[in-house]
Amino acid sequence: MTTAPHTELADLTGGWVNFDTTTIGIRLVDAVADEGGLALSIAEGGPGVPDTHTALAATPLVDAGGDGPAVGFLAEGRLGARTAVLCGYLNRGLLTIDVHTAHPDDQRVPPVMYRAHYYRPGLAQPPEPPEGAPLP
Amino acid sequence: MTIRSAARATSSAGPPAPDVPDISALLGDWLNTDRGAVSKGPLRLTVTECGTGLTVRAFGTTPADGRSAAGEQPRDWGEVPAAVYTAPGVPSVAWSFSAVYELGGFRTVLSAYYKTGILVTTASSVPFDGGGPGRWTRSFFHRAEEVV
Repeated sequence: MTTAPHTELADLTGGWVNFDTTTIGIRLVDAVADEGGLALSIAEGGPGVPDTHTALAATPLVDAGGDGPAVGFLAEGRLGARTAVLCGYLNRGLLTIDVHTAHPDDQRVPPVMYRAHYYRPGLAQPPEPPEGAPLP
Repeated sequence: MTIRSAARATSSAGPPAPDVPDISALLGDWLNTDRGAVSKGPLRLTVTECGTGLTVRAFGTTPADGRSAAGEQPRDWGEVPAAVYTAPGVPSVAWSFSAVYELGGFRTVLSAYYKTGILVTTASSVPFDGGGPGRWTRSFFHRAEEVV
């Protein structure tokens, strides 16, 4: 899960919180730069369901049209008993993740894909003006 | 997500078995809405029923890594099996698939979902050798028989 050292990851890193607090799924994603890749710490849960935590490695992705900063990631692995493919990408400052899961050990459970949208709490608030700067 | 309307999409297949999701919304020939002018993913997808699943054949003017070459002719990415996904709580209807291509030194995961008559895809391409950045692109497709 390595990438070019110069690939900018800042737009992807940080703690991401699911906007939808009413459903069961990935509630939180903490993304940390890790030797050119991303280390994801994932919390799944929902109303009445305790969180489970999983670590996944992700490959940062840049826009196919250029060599700019990372705009998405691909993570493949397991979320508990399920295989998972997470396709994440930035959209106007939000992180959208298409979550694909399957139960390889239980064919009776259909594979599921859901989309979830995340924000970074620290960046959701308007920035404070620099000290001494004139207010609008 | 319009699962119910997806279930009514055209299909040459008969009614699905009770324990198999209805894949009819995903089937058919799909054309990239911008013909590759902006997006760098496939230009055309052919999604075919195969047993209880799908196969996907992709065509594009660019290799899977998204780097294009002027004047390059449409390239056949080949036909591969696809995993089919339902929406949470709606096990009877498939609305998404994913397929993996291995082209040009990249492993590309092509994921797609059906929404209100269009197919939305993301192509995530990761180099085999891990020596460079991965590539990402998002594209929109309409059915080939529909004129835009």
